[in-house]
This record gives sequence, structure tokens and C-alpha cells, in this order.
Amino acid sequence: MEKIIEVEGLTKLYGKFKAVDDLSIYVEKGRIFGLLGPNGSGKSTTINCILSLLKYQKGEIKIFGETMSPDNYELKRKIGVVFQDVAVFNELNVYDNIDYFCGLYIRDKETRKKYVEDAIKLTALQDFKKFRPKQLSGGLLRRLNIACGIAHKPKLIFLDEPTVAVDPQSRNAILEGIVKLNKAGATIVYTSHYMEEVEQICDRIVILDKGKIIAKGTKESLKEMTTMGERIVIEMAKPDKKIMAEFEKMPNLLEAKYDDGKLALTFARGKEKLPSVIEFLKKNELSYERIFSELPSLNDVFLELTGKELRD
Amino acid sequence: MFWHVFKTKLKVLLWNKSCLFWVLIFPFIMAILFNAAFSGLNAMKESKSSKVAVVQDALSENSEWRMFFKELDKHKSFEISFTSAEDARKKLDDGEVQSYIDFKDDKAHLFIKENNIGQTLIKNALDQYAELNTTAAAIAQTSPEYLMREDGFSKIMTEDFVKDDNTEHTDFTVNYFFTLMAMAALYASLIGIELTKNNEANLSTKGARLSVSPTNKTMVMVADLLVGFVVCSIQQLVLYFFIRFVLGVQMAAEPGWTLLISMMGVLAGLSLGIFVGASNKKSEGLKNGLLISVIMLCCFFAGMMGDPILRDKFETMMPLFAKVNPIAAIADGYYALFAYNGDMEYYWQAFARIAIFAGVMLVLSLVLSRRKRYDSI
Ligand SMILES: Nc1ncnc2c1ncn2[C@@H]1O[C@H](COP(=O)(O)OP(=O)(O)OP(=O)(O)O)[C@@H](O)[C@H]1O
Ligand SMILES: [Mg+2]
Repeated sequence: MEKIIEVEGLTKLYGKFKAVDDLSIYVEKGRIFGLLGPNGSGKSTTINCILSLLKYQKGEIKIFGETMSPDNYELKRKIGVVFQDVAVFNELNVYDNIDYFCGLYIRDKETRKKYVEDAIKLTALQDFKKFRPKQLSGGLLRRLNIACGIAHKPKLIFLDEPTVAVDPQSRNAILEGIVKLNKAGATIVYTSHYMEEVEQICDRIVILDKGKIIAKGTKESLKEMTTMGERIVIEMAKPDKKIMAEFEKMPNLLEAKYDDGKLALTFARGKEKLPSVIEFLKKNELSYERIFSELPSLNDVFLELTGKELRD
Repeated sequence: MFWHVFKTKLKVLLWNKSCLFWVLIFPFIMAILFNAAFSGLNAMKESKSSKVAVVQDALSENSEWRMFFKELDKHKSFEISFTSAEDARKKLDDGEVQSYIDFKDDKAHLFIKENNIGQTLIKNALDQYAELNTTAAAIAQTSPEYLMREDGFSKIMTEDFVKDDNTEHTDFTVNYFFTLMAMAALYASLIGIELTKNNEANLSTKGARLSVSPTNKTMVMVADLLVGFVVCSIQQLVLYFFIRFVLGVQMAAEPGWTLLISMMGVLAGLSLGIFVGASNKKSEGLKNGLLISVIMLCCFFAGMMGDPILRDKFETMMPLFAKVNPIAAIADGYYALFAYNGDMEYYWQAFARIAIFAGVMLVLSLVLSRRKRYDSI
């Protein structure tokens, strides 16, 4: 598979602080590549280095097989960026904003007009063309931010946390749009600290923490990295100490934790956990509201690798 | 691409409220306030012209003193009447005059009841006249006929003594308006800051967006300069006509040359703003505040506030700064046109001073705009 981005040994210091530490990643053509990590893990810094916006101390960066540099306009023409912070002119309306940024790439007026309309359609902003950014809700503003970054139909798109502070409905619309762009042929680099999003759309994922890669692979292969196989959650009254001790004796149990009206039993890999738990509850005449089973998430992977939660 | 950027940035600028206020509205408000202040001052002085009685007992019909006071009487600040010593004293007691002057041994003595500005003015005039009397005596010996002429020496001297002329806007009030126009030109720097913010990746995400696009940043900077230049040049032209025709201040009659040095001032302001904007990562508010303070300080040293005498004092105290001060340079250019006597040398000197300032700022901002990668954004 052709590699669109290759980064070798990237190291970036802010003063003495190492924000990215000897990072090596590659992105294959036609994929949605996910860069997952908590706040401050170095996702934006990595992207800004790849884009040649930041000076870095060490490392080699190639895009489409060429060395990226600020003067490589041919390369820049193929790239679209949606930055983490919304970057639009408050003085211009939705249409003019998209048109301005698209115009930095596309000279021909007719083509540009069509491209701008396409971007508006993709982000479903048809009804807001004449609106000023200040008149848009948070979700719409994010969509405008995306439209400004991708209107010129780039082959490679960077999206840095494009869904921050967006309600679930708008978020889904955005994710669908990204998948559409990918289906239309664009390779995508997507960063987020929402593991659900990354799980939902990304093919290959790299998990960052403190500027270092702590895990990489497909979401399936990442989940195999956890020792955890299944988590069974029971909504019930707090069991007494004796019962808890009984729970802890169950085979393959890694952890039993009661919190907020729920008992969570984490098991290592193995089969048929749910029936044996239900049997145990019956035997001890314990009543419960609900019982359900969870498979490991990327959060569990992160938790196990770093000892802390991914979020916050 | 150039015109695409130009058109968009022009639109952005014309919708930017804070820029519009400082650049397109504030100078006009200042002009109106200045005008009101000066007219108010003049009206006050006029209504309070000081009544002075002169004891004529000791004065011969054609004496120098008598001529001096006749000239002084033409001046709006004073109302001179000739009378006897006794009558003068009575008038002062009754408050009909604020002061009277008597002569002993050919020296003038001023009698007053209370001290006020009118009395100070006449005292000054008397003192200076007395001082120059020796000169007068010298002239009297060589060319007495000149001294004796109605419009001769005494007229020249009264004009000298009474610096505070009350005609509507005289030489020094007009300087306030010149510094005001210069200030308005340099306020273009606020536009420079605003536009730069949108171009530098370390100042805004819009700048980052520009930086990742296949666009030459210097080209964008030139387009920005042109936007600011067009808007501010129009402002200068309108301001000139506003001050001259709406406020009725006597300005240089030639709008062409005025606009030329104004445009150089605008260029200086814009590039100053771009330089300050791109040179550091401090907040826009801080940069704006800094520039406004510096411009105001330059205005102060160019004599915008307070006594115009101050300006000359600063000039002798800090001759180099007075030369560099862009406000002073532009105002000097206007003044050269205003006091035009067929010689443009002083105008071109002022023009060269502001042009050098603009050139240095322009080079500095070009250097900064060529920067491509940042240590941090
Ligand atoms: N301009 C800067 N100067 C100094 N330190 C910085 C600067 N920008 C970022 N950092 C630090 O570098 C680290 C990585 O920051 P970065 O913005 O790349 O993280 P991120 O993964 O994008 O986080 P987030 O999810 O909050 O966007 C953080 O610890 C941050 O504090
Ligand atoms: Mg970030």
C-alpha cells in the first residue's frame, strides 16, 4: 500500500519541554488514520510539524513521497487542513468565508464556484450561506470550519479535533461527512480524544501519551492488547463484604468494583461469563435491576497502558 | 489571486468595527472637539476683553506711549480709554475698568484691583515695550520719521507683544489640526496590526490556514497594504476637506501636496503596524494599546497638547527625536504648505523624514513576513 505520509523520529521541543518525542508514523493511501490521545499529548503539535508550520528539532517528514517544506506549493495544493480552533472571518458570511479560503487554492472562478457549492452541500450549510459566523451555533460553526478547510478537494485532509464541543447529532453529521470525503478518495488524518469517534471511523489508530506512541494498530488489534476480555455491569444495591469476597473468588476475575449503583466485574479473556454471573446472583438470592456485558474499548486499552483514563 | 485577497480583505476591513472606529471615526470626533475647544476659548477671551484706563496727563499728544496704546486698543483683548488720573482711580474703584496705567518719570505703572489674565496680558505688553524702548530710542536717533508714522514702529511692536492673537484659527491652533491629521494617518497602524494577525500562523489560526495554503505571504501582505492604503488615504482626504470646509479651519490651500505627504504617513503607519504586529506574540489588545500610547506621545511632543511653545522646547531638548517623530514630520509638511512662500524645500525635507521612517518600517515588516516556520504557534 502506498504511504501518503511518512514521519521518522520526529522530536519537537517547546523550550525545554518535549511535546513530541521520537515519533514515527505512516499513513496509507485511502485510509482514515486516527491519532488518539488525551489533552496535551501532542496531537496538534505533531500535525503542525507535519505541515511545516512549526520548527522541530529532529525528524524527517515526507508527504506523497516528497519532503515537506513551507515553499513546496505543489504539495500544499494537495493538502487540506481543519484546525482545532475555528478559523474564519467574522466579518464575512458563510459563503464568502469558504470562497476566500478556496480561492487561495483554486484560481478559476467557475471551478471555485462549483467547489464552494459542493463544500456547502457536504457540510449541509445550504440554509446558512448568508449568515455571519457569530450567528451560527457551535455545531454549525464547526461545519463551516470544516468546509473552509476542504473546499478545494484536497487528496490529503488533516482534521484536528473537529468535533470538540459539538452535540452528538452534529457530531454524527460531521463524522458522516468525513467518511464521505474518504469514500470520494481522500486520505484522512483524524485526531481526537474521543475514543468512540476514532473507533467509529478510523482504520488504523495510533495512541499518543506525553508525546510518545504507546500503542498502534487497527482497533481490533489494539483491543487484543488488553488482558481484559469482558466487563459485566450489574445495576444493584451494594452487596455486603461477604458477597463481595465471593464475587472476587470467581474464576478469571481481574477486578470487582462498586460505584454509583453499579457493580462492574472485569474478566480476563475466556468464555461464557454472563451465564455464570447470573447463576451466582440466583444462588445468593441477589436482586438486580439490569445486567449487561461490555467489550473492551480503546479507553480500557489506554487505561491499562497508562494507568489513567483517556478522557480528562 | 492578488485581487481575490484584496477584495476579501477590503470587505473584512470595512466590516471591522474597532478598526473603523479608530481610523474612520475617532479623528473626526477629535477634530470636532478641537474646534469646539478653540472656538470656546476665543469666545471666552472676546467677552472678557480687559478695560484699561490710561492717564493722559503726563502724555504728550504724539508720544510713543500714546501710539502704543492706540494700537493696543485695536486688539480685541483690550479696551483702552484715555483719562485723567483722578477719573482713572475712580473708575478702578467702581469696577468700570480692571486696571489703569499712570506714568512717572516716563515709566509706566500698572494699577490693578485684582489679578486676572487680562491684567497679566497688559503687564506683559508693558514690560516688553519698556524693554524695547531702548531700541526705539536708537531708531529714533537714526530714522525718527519711521518711528512717528501711524502704522510704523508701534504697530509692529504691538503685534510682537501681544502673541495671543484672537483671530479665529491662527498659526498655532492650526498646528493642532496638523498633528491631528498626522495622528489619523498613523492610526493606520491599527489596521496593520489587524491585517497581520490574519496572516501569521503564530498569531491566529486564520494565519495558520494561510500558511498551509500554496500562497505567497508577501503577496498577501502587499494586498493588505494596498487595502489599508486606499482606505486611509480616503480618510485623510475627507478629513482635510472636513477640517477646512466644515469646521472652517484655515488649512493649506493645496489638497494635492497635502494628500501626498498624508499618503506617505499612511504607509508609515501601516508598515509600523505590520512590524509591531508580526514582531511578537502578545495580545492584539496590548499591541493596539501600545501603539495608541506611542502615537499619542509623539503627538504630545509634536505639540498637540498644551502650549505650542512646548513643542519648541522639546525640539531643543531632543533634536534627534524631533526629527524622527513621524507625527512631527507629517505636521511639519502640512505646515510648510500652509505657510507656503514659494519655497517647497521645507516640505520636501519633512516628506523625506516620513518617507525614511516608512521605508525602514516597510523593510522590517517584509523581513518578518518572510518567516515561514515558527518555534511555537
Ligand atoms: N506554544 C506552546 N508553548 C509551550 N508549550 C506548548 C505550546 N503548545 C503546546 N504546548 C504543550 O505541548 C504539549 C502538547 O500540546 P498539543 O497542543 O500538541 O496537545 P494536543 O494533543 O493537541 O492536546 P489537545 O487535545 O488539548 O488539543 C502540551 O503539554 C502543551 O502544554
Ligand atoms: Mg490539539
